[in-house]
Amino acid sequence: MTGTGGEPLRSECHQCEPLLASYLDGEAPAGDRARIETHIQSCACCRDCLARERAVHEALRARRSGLRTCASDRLKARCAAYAARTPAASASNLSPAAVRPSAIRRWAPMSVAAALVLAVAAVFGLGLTQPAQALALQTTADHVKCSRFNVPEGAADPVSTAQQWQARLGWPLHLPTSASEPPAEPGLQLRTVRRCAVTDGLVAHLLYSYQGEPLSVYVLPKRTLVDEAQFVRRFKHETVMWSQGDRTYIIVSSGKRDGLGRMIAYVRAAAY
Amino acid sequence: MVFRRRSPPSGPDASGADDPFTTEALSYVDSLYGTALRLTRRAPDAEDLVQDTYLKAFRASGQFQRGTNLKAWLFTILHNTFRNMRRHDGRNPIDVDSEVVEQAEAVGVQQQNPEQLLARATLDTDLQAALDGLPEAFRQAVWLRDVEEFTYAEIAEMIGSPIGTVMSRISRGRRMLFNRLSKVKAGAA
Repeated sequence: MTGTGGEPLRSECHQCEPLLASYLDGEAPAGDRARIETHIQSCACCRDCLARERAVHEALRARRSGLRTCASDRLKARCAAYAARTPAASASNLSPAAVRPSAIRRWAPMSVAAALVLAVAAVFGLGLTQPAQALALQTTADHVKCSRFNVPEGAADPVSTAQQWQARLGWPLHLPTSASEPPAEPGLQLRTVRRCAVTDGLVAHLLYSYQGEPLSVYVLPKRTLVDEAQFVRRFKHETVMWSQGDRTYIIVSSGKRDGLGRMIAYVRAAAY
Repeated sequence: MVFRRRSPPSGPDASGADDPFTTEALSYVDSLYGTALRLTRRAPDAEDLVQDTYLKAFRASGQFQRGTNLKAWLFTILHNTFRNMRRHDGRNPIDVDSEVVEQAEAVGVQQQNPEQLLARATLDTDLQAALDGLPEAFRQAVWLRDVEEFTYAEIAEMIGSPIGTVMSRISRGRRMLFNRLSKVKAGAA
């Protein structure tokens, strides 16, 4: 440490210098304060050091609000969701890696990339421009991919799955339980819920086993279609979609249209 | 500061939403994010850090002793989480001889009245850039004291260092910051 003029500090300065911050911040004991005040009266170098520290301290205090960067609403929503989710999450059989929030962001670019490929195919490759047709193509392609590779063995627990969903995405998903409405549909079993990106945004992809066949229900948290159900058949899959309340629902099944009737009624009643 | 486990139940209730602990904890999200941004210097990493902090905090809410400083407790979790992140990333802060840095930065600093020098239109962006340019240990100490207004004891608990080290880092960090800002001013003049 040297003075501003470059001359070496005296031993008294060496004792005083480390205490300047605590003096300035009001954290120095009374004895130290008296010692520092006596010293800086006679030492221009330490007086200057103190003035520099004070100048920075006051500049930072004055600019505090400008220096702080506010968290995004998305981050706030996610953090708030942890409060509701945490007790159940710790009691569930999720591994820590499965609930690690930062893992969501790492997978997001891949989902977005996949959605972009599908969107390009929808708009340019097949010449589709109608929102319903684009949604049908994207969800059907996703359903085919997921039903081959992403179907876990056994049923998913709707309560913990819904809690995890809200914690991760920040918006609720009302999954019917055995005790709730609508009554259980025979042969219908929820296997997993995953996040999927389409051109309209992020959707919840509920992957079911229905009468031994994979069936997907996609839930988009906004209205993009009309209330009346629209049917689209693509790649030997039947897709039906509609908007209801502030949500849009898409069901994709490899079964026949007749088989969709009960599922449409079920999803309309469940209103996820 | 000692955080002792209390007899249950002391954490948030099942819903969590209306719990005073939860409400107060969530009120610090901007402070935590601002600090995480100063630590990581990357917005996505800062978001991850804040999310991990809240996840741990809500899980460990039973360990928080009511009546103690919840903000300081959250910041302690934030710093511990950040240290673990750094360890797993294989990126460790480089030890800097602060005295050498301070001397090097003092070269060419104009002899002016310090208060007048910084009072004259120092921009937030200049301050931000100067802070981000400080070695991590000093940046952290100065930010926690001058922006977040923690006591030396609280900062020492958060970063796991003795109070004397905290005091020294704050002092040297402020002087380094002054030297950097003085150079910015000199360059702009």
